[in-house]
Amino acid sequence: MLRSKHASSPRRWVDDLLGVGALVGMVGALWLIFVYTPLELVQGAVQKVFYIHLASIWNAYASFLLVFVASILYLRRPSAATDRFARAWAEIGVVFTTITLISGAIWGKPIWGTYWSWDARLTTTLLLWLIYVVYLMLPSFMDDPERGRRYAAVVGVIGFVDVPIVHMSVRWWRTLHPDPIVANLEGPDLPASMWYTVLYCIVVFTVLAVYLVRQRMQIDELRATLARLRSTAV
Amino acid sequence: MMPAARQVLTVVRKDLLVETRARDLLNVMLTFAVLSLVIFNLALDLRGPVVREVGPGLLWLTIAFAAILGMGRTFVREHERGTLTGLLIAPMDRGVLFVGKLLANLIFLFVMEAVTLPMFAVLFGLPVLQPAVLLITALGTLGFATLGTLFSAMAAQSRAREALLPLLLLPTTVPVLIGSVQATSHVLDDTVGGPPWIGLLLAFNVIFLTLAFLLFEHVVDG
Amino acid sequence: MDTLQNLDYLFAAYAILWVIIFGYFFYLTRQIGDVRREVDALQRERAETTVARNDETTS
Repeated sequence: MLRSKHASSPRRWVDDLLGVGALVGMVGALWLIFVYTPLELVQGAVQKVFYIHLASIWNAYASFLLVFVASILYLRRPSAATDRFARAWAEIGVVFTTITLISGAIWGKPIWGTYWSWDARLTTTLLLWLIYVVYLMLPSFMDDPERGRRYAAVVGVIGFVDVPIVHMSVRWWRTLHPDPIVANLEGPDLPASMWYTVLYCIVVFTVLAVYLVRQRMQIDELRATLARLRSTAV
Repeated sequence: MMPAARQVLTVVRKDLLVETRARDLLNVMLTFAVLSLVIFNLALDLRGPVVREVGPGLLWLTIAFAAILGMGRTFVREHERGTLTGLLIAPMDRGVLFVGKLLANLIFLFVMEAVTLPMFAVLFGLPVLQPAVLLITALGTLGFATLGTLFSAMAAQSRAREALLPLLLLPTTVPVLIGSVQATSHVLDDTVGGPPWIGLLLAFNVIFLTLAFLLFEHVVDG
Repeated sequence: MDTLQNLDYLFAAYAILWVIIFGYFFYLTRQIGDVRREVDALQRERAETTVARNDETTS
């Protein structure tokens, strides 16, 4: 709980550490990606988008998994903290899904010759993005905040269960059509340096996500404090 | 008869009774469905062999949009007349209420389709009035109605009312839409192969029914 | 082999990544600042009124 901005609570200390860690990590990632890893021969320089692309989608899926778990917990035992947790992770998940979609489109242009191919993974990711954007919008439509939180949790559960079904259905739908030429980068024949960089990027992005989530949750906590202060007006 | 089944029937009968008096749901849904078939054809200028390719997609878009229009009404109607509170006070399980509402929605949708399918067959010249397509229609409709019943209860409580329903229903029911369109295409043109869509539709329905049944109490309570 | 031909796409991808992350970060920081200022102002106000009241009762 933040009583005053001057209090140097351990929480602020952890936040600062995470923030600085994420920033340094991101700069380190740039060095690894642009200097350390070799140039991929077939795709050229643009293949280097792969590292942030994979780290973003990993974060997005991890975020939505956390939203799913928190939503179930909320429905079993409603609490403001659980809702804040779910909401913050959903927002960060949407941010990273956005990065995934945009980086994927930019990568796709020189490789596939088009920004967007209706391939199974792209389509699923776009639908995922749409579902969680609606999740985030939902409470603002409700007059009763408690109902808004509860309904968001319902969508948090359905949205996540829906993802694999959507993916399967889109995949099978696309089996009728020519597959886009996707360079199989995730094969085991990836050079070790590329693998290290991928793992490093995933770790750094996760730290970044945790930092952003804590910031996001802090806003809601401060808002709750504000509401409490106002309701006990003298 | 089991008491639960009797309660379900009461809920269904109530909805049908309200509809026979108000007539603001079926008429709107039916007119809208026929109208969209016409509008789609005008907008896309459908002639020749392309009809066979895009026909199933048009049919299912029409059904999906008409379903959203209709299902949005059922709970908003309860909300406007304050009858939802009555239903919730009534001594019955939330599951009973869900099944009753779902069945009522299904009946409305099937009536809409009973008009839309023949109209589609005539206007687009595609043989959709055959047992396989009817089975697919039943399965696809069940998928839309299941999540539609859950989400329309949510939408009715919102400031946006039924305008919220498509935002919730369209992205989540994508598997049902794809499954229904593909299954219909395969029946109409058996040269194309593909996975067993009818079985998949069945599986989607089982998953959605379980989810909606479990979550419904969280949507109507409070 | 002109493997460096797609550098502009690579640049665009990383530019957008940093813009999104920093944009979101500044959006969060500004909101935290705004709400915290309000909380502090309210708390100060509350503290002053309490002090004033205490003065009244003691005098």
